[in-house]
Amino acid sequence: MKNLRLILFFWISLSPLFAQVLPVDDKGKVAFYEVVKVDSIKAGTLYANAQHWLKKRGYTVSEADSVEGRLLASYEFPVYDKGYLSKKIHGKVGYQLHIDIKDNKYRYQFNDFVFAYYKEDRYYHQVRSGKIKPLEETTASGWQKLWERHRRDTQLNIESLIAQLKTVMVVLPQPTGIIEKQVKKEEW
Amino acid sequence: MKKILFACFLASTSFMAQAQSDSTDAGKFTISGYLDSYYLAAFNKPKSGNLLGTSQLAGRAFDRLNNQFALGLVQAKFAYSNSKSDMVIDLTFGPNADLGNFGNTSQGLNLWRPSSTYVSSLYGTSAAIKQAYFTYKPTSKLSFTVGQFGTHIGYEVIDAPVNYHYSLSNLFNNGPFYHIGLKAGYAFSDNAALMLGLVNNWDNLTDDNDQKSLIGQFFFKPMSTWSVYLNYIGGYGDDTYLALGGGGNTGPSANPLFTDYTRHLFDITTNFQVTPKFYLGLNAAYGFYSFATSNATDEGIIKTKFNKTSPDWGGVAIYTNYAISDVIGIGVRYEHFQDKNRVRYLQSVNNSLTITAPITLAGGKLQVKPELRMDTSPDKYYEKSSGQGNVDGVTGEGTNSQTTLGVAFIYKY
Repeated sequence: MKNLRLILFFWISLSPLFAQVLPVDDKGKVAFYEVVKVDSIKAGTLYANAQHWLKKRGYTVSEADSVEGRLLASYEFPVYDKGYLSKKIHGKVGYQLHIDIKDNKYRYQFNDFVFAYYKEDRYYHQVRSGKIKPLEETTASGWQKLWERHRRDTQLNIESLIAQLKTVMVVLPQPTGIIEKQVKKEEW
Repeated sequence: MKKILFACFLASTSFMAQAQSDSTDAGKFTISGYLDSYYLAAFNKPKSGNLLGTSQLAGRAFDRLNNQFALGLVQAKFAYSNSKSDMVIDLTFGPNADLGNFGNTSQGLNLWRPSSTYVSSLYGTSAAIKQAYFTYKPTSKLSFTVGQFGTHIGYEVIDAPVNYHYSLSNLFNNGPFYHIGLKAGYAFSDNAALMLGLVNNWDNLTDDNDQKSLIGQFFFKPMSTWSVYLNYIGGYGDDTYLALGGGGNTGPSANPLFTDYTRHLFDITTNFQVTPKFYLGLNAAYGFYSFATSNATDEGIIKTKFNKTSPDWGGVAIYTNYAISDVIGIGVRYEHFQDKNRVRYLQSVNNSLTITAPITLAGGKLQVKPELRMDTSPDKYYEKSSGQGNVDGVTGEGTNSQTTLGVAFIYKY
């Protein structure tokens, strides 16, 4: 009995650690936000790095203001239902990414997360059904486990993107002219 | 060691970030399918126990067995897709598969009579093929598809999980189910596409009259949640049913006058997700035959049988549904269908109201569909406990309406 109590105590006290907690902003909307300070990197370099990364990752950039140092982009990625034999796309999670840039610092905000349901059409293509579900919702009656997996996949995906963004933002441009000099040295 | 850990971290970060890439178009092989069964009760208590009646023309095609547990269809679908090609092998078994694939059977429904006696027996396994085709995409906009594929005509399909309602509309039952042939598709953009093709007529494994039918579809999307399909099929002598002796024409000895015609079918299908929970759909079709008549006698024969030398048929169906939650919804379909000239299977006029409240369980894998359907006809068309109604030109002891209450169970994998 004592052991059972002990197990229950640990289970109850540790369970919040395993619960899925997506960060939310002051309006209760899912958002990943941070101001990142970088040493001695001009806004122009940070802007170019951010712009290059957004393009490489396939974002749709809807606003790019190099003077104000502002980038606004959107993207959506598929989430799957594993199925018994083959996994099927269950929907797509879309979001917006704002990046604001100043000398020696930038801030990012991933927000407006929405899950778009997909369905099979008459040609067996998985297509957008038109139904949507904000990622803030924690319950999904009838498919709770799958919904929790979608939320968890989203969190992992965004966290990995943040790590990648932080890496590429501090890349300094290669000094121009050096390569040219090296080529000139190669004489017969 | 630290460097190795750091490198591992970077590698894993990079790997996870790849997850953002949309891999839906990457090559993949999938196995999926479903099975469905149903139980329904018809309040008109048809004597034959079959909503198709003894004539096989009494209005309801697929969910047709009264007061018994019935199996619909079992599907095993294999698909492969990559950026350059798609392949689908869609095998179906069971009563609804037999009915849906009737043009692939070895029985009298296939009209091709080759001189070799060995060929006809080969149709045995063909009855299991609902679809078998592949698509080649030379560019991202252009595609070619060859094989047996589901028709582009209409709103509903034979697959119960795809339709909102379990019972099928008369527009579906009286249209083509599938075609065998070649089609080319060109996507002008994500919001507009054109398809054109040549096929072995309607529902025909083999081309029995050496004539091909032309198919076409123009798709456009006025809004992200609104799609419109304009469909066409037309050809010469392409009605398997009529050539078989439909409507009193008698099989191989059928009057050749009844196979000398061109037929055209125009169809519009549109669906609009008005709000995330509220949905609207519409399907309308109009088709006609043009019989060739060289003299007044021939004209008289055609008119006697079909009322006029260009007999037509058509209908309209409106669909709406509301998602109360992810588990339960409610949907209504209203349909008006006319086959006054008795050129299609219904051979009557029908108004139909269907109310369905699908319940989705087991993470979307199980659908339970309670359904009430009310059909009415100005003719005493529907069979009752005393016998068959007015069908196929025969006056019977029918009733003007048929109401059924049933439930369907659909499991998909």
